[in-house]
Amino acid sequence: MTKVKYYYNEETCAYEPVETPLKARLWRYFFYLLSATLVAAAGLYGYYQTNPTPKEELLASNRQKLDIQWDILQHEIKFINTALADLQLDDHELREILELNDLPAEIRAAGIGGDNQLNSLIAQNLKFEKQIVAAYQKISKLKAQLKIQGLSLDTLTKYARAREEFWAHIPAIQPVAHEDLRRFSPVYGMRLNPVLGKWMPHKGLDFMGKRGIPIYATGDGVVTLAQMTYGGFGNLVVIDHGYGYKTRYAHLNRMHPFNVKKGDHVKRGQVIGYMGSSGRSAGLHLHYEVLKDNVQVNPIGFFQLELDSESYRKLLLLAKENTAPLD
Amino acid sequence: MARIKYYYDTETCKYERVKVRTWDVFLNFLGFLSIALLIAIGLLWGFTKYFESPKEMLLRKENEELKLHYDILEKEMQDVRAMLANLQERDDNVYRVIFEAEPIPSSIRQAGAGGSEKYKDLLDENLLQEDLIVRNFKTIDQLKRQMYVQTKSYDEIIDLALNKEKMMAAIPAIQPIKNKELTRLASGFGMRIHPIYKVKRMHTGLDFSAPRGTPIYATGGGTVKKAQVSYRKTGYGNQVEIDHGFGYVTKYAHMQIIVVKRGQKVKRGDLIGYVGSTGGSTAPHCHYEIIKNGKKINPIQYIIQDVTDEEYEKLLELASRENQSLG
Repeated sequence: MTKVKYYYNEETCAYEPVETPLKARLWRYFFYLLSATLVAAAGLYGYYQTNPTPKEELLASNRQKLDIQWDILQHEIKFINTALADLQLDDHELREILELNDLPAEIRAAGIGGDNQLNSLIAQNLKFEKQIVAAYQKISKLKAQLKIQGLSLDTLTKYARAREEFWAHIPAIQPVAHEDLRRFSPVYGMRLNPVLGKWMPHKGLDFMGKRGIPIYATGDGVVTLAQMTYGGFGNLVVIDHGYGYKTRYAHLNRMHPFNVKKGDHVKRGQVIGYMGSSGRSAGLHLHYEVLKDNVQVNPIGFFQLELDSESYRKLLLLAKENTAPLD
Repeated sequence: MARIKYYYDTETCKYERVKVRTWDVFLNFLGFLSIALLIAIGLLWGFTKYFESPKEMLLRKENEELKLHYDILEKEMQDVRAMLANLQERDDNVYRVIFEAEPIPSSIRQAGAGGSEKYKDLLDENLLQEDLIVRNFKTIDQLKRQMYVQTKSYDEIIDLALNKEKMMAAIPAIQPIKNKELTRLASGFGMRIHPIYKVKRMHTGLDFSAPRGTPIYATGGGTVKKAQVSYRKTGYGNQVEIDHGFGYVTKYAHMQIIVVKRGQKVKRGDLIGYVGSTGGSTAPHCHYEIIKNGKKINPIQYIIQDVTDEEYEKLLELASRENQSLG
């Protein structure tokens, strides 16, 4: 409708072209746009009364992701709690085996006192206070419990190793291999001395065998003596096992008595010398003593003759493997 | 401007009235709407960019809160995870020191408690006939267990038929100590590393680890054959043997205190003594043996009365571990 429009001017009685001044035209456009804007705004308002805005949708989908993350976090806390319970069960068992007092439940539970972090959280007036505070509490409790479990494990490790050391050190085998043993005299205490012909206390056990058969250390320890003595023991080896235990191996071979020297660290089953009849001895034998706090005790309590030769041989092999230079 | 408008028709050479057709009105209206739409889009864009509704603000704040604390907690969890992994490894190390064996995976440890847990993987695979398959697995497991239990001779079954009640009361059928959580079976029957000699030897019984002073019960009715106190540091220590008749003898070793006398009659479940660590033992435990017609047999087959199927499974699993015995 680009055609020029006219109106009938009643004063001039003529058709005159309609001429709208620029200002009026501008006003018209303005009103046109304003009403369009109003309609648009009203429409938007009406629509988003019931429908989510794009931004809301985006935020909601972010929220969904966050909820999933939180869910995973909660699950993981549960999982770690189970794993921790497992560790605590182990701890309990190990303490029984190592004969340590069980940790009191309240220490295990690791109660947490007034935590500054938590107080400041509560002061923040959070929307999800319950959820967030609970998670903080759970995790800090977990951390505390894990820390305690760690300390407990320090103790357990220490005791387990100490126990291993103890059992490796105390005399626990016979000093002569079963197949080398010709005769074993389990006489301990008063007996008629075969050399002196008198009743004398016999504070050890005698193992009879061929000349030169190997004599083994009965437990780990340090050689404190490996030399000729004149009190009747002849060539003598003394091993200090620690824990108050010492063992003595007497009457060793005259020609090749020792396989170790003073100060050597020996392993159970390591050859320390060879059988002989040096000193006050009536025949080839090893006189074996076990001393607890420097007092002889009956060595019969410190080995098992029934340890079969197969096991004994394996034990010796094991000792050989383990006899790495210690210094 | 309600003036009537005319246009100059060049054909008729007349001024004619401008007629407003409905189509024109419609088109005008459409134009208006499309402009309103364009404005709406503009408005929406502007608002989304520069403003936010209270609802959006709320959502955003919530999201920020969740995100902030999630991030903090997730960092904490990284610590927790690292701590846990570290503890688990150290726990395993202590286990290795004490049992000279790889620790039991927690899935096995928890099998007794969970029961159907081990079928869960199958379920997770969403197999079509999962129910049927799981049921089949369960049946097979049960059969296996029954077969294990039923490795008894026909003689025995005939005996059982003849003297059913007497025999049922006499032959060993329970665990010698209370072991509801099944955490106590420390070592099984078979070749095991000896805790002192460190060589593999035949371990002729089951070791139940328990604190000193835990009651030990007769596993079947019978007469006390041996109640022997020993001060040796090797062997069975303080031990009790019960003759159950029908060729069965049970032995309980390393006891702290024995409360029965030789010749005394006992019923299943009667207290006979308390757990200790006497003799060749490195930790307090009850070493339990069953001797059938003079031969030491695996007692695991005779623990049937006080355990469920799942618990029995777990006991079998524990007993088959090739670890170090406790002595």
